[in-house]
Amino acid sequence: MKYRRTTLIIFLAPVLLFYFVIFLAPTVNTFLLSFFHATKFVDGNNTFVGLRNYLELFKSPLFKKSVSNVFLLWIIGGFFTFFFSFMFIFLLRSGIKGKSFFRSIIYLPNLIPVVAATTMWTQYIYHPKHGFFIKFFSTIGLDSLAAIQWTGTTMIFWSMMIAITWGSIGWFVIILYAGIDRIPNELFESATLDGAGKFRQFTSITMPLLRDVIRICITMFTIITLNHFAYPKLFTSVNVVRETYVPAVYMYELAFGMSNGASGGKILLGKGSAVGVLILIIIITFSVLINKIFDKFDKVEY
Amino acid sequence: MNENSLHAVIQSPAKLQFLKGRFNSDNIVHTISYVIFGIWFLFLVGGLGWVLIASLSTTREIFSDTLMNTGLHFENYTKVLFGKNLIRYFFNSIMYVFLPILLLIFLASPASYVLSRGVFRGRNFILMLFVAAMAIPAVMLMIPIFINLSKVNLVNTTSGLVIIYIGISIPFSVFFLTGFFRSLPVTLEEAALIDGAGEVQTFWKIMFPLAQPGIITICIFNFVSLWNDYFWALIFVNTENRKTLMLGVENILRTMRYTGNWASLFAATMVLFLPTFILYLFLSEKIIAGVTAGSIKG
Amino acid sequence: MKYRLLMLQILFVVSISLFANGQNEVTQDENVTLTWWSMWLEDEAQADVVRSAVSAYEDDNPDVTVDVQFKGREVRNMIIAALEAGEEIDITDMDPAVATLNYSDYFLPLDEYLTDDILGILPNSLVYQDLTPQGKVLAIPTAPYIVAVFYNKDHFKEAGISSEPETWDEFLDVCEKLKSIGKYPITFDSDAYTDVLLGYGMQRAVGYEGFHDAMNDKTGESWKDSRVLAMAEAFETLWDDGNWDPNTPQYLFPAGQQELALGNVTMYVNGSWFPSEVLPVTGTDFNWGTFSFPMIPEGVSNNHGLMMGTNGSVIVAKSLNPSEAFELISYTISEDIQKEYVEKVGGLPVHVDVNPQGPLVDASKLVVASDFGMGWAAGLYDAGELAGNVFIPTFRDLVLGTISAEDFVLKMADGTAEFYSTTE
Repeated sequence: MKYRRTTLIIFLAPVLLFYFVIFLAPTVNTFLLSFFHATKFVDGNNTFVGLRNYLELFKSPLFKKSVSNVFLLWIIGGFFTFFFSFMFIFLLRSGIKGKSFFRSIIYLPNLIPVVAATTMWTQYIYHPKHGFFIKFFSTIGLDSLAAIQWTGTTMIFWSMMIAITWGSIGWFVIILYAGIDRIPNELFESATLDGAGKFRQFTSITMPLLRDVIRICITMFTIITLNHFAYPKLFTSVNVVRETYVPAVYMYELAFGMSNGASGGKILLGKGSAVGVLILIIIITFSVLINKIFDKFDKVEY
Repeated sequence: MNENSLHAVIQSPAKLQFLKGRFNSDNIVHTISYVIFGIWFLFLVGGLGWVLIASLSTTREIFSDTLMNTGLHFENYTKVLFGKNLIRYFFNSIMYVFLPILLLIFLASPASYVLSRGVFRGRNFILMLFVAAMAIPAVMLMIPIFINLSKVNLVNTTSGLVIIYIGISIPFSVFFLTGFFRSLPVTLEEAALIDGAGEVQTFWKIMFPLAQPGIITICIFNFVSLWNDYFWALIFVNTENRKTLMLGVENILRTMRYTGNWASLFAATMVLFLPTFILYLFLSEKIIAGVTAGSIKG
Repeated sequence: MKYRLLMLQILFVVSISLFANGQNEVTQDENVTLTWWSMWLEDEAQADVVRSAVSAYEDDNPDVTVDVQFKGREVRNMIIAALEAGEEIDITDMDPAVATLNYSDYFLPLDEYLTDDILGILPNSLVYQDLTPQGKVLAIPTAPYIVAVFYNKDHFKEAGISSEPETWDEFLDVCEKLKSIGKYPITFDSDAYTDVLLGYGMQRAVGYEGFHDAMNDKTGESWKDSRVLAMAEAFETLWDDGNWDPNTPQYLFPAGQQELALGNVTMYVNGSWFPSEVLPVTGTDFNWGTFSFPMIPEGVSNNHGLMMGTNGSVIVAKSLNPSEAFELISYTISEDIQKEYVEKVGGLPVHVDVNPQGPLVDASKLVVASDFGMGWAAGLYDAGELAGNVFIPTFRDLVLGTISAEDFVLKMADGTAEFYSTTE
């Protein structure tokens, strides 16, 4: 639809104003900062270093490790998050009783403050002595599962991923569900009359019509995953260990000069800003790719 | 024998029909559902239940796995609840959260509307701006925003924090609502415009009410994230009488970590958690109502 | 009609900004006002002590008002932005090591205020431990800490251990005796205290300078020193003999600490805040002991070198009232306030004539006995990301028995060389 110019201005101006103050100006500030060696937060005696910060990042083993960590979280964590989200939605819509109760309990983990959740996982569920897992698996005789060192070096990354996934599923279920309820029931009814089973209906009706919502969800998931900060920082609450290192933590340590951090306590605001810019670029690239993939499918009108 | 076998043949299809009625695919799916949800529920009870029980125990009991040996320790909660000024923090939080959400509705909806079906130059660019905004980590924005707001004397003011809260909620809200508006058909507006209604009028009178389910969902998400905010409140309202509940309780929480008072730490997190939980319980009913109404109309 | 909406929106924004200006009424004082952004939190015991110091100061100086705001640990990040934005702050709290590394331009050198009286009550090694590039003192130490082996004295008594170990062999012997009474000799939380073990291990083995030489040697060959291997073998033996709590590989803070607090484990290399951190679990009857990290076989250093540091108070360079600010700070290190600090906070005092009671008696004796002070983990983090990416994970694998001593040495050498070759 084409709108009149005044309409556009009235509707968009306020939002864009906020955007400028809160996002655009500071981001441009940070973007410019990434080309400097900056040890102060405000324009001090910052030396222009061109692309040096970026080159250092590309060569840094720790930065590369953090990116690979977050990428694994995105691919594997993403797969499981969406797999379970879709599965739960399918089950919720299959006509069982107590739908709203089940939906609430699926969303509940998302509401738990991260500090409580991480403590619950590391000090209770995964605990080697009195933990939920070790007690449960031992009791039902699954000794091989009981023997897993969840918070040991090899498993800690996956344990954190499990914790994150558990907390995220509910959020996506809610969003996807709001999208599903917009689909008219007639479509499902006529499909049932035609003899299609619940599963067939799900794949042929529900999923395609949810395309836009799914696209939103995947984009949101990308953004959240690449920006993960709280979970890694709180999972190992004193220092972030190499196995669970993520770019946002790297950026924080550089920008604020954390004493036990990657810069050995020095404030490297320019390099930290560069990390932020790179995170942003990765997200935008993924968003564009996701959009292109989704645009390939025809838009379905109902 | 012939008759019997004939009987048997006639009867068996009926039996099979009966059995099919019992074990059709629907029932299998239902059983699986109950099992899976049951497992999830048990795990939730186990985990969250542990946090709850831990909050009513002593620190020693938590780590020696002797929970509940000495009964319920409500003093963990009284320490948190009757700490200074928590009532005041509570009302501060209410104000800091409801005001932005209210204003946000009227700012974000029109913008999302035109972005969802408008055809104009720069539309995709603007959309990309909002996506990009969500990707920006808060730490990057903090210092420049602090400096700018200081220059106009808005630090440690209600309005300052309200502006920030609105600002940081806009990208996701616009993004989400744009997608939501996209799923609404254009036929209604086209009809209204043909009838001579103005564009602005069409929006507020027709499309805006239709967007209720999406708007309610956004309100809930924004409430949860603003209510739980610690980062921005810490920087912008860190004086005694302006603190938010999250700030007040988080401070208690951190103190407890340094003094090793884990039981009270859990009590404090439960206090933080309860408002969002209760609100969700109440509002989820509204969602169902709103969403159902929407699908009937659509 | 359509403009009505626009007007409404403009009205919103305008009224908000008017509202904003109306809120900010600051009462002007004719008196001098000192603003103090403290790193402690409202409810912490340290905050109480600061408040006592402030009121004692205000009583003696009626024409000065002190506005102390308890910002918590993030004050470090907030203060710089606040100062740049023009806020008037006089005092803040900061680790001197951090202040001299990143913020020396913002704070006032305090050398001229260090009278003999002041130097007489402070441990001078601590005062001069972190200097600016120009060799100036930026901070007054107010909350010192040390890192050492904290242990359960009751276990030692029960096991018949009569003296604290000084050599590694004595240390292993102590472990044997502890195992015979059914206790796990040692544990830690690998996400929190691996770095101090490595720092002590290397300092004992090749000295502070030798440690830093190895970190900076771009070929990585310095790690292949026989003394480093001896240190690695010492830790290898420690694990192989079964002296570590077998669940140690999985302990994340504070799980390992709690095991000691509950009486299952005897020793833990930790900071002097340890007893207060586990007080809710140990209760006040816990018999705390502290000894300095033992010598490493074939190592160059004795066991007197002590990891210590402090938090401190600094004065903002732009402060309009530096002398008043310094006087206020000096109240926090006075004998009375220090006694209150020891009692309420349970930390180490900085005043040389004040002695802590209870858990930190032994720890404070170590400060006196030490002839060499070093920063956290003997400066391990000077290696930047090499520390977190290579040194700490490799050492942790050695300590927890995942790799052998020879592998440890090779991995440290290769990791160092690789890092420098790819990033140069």
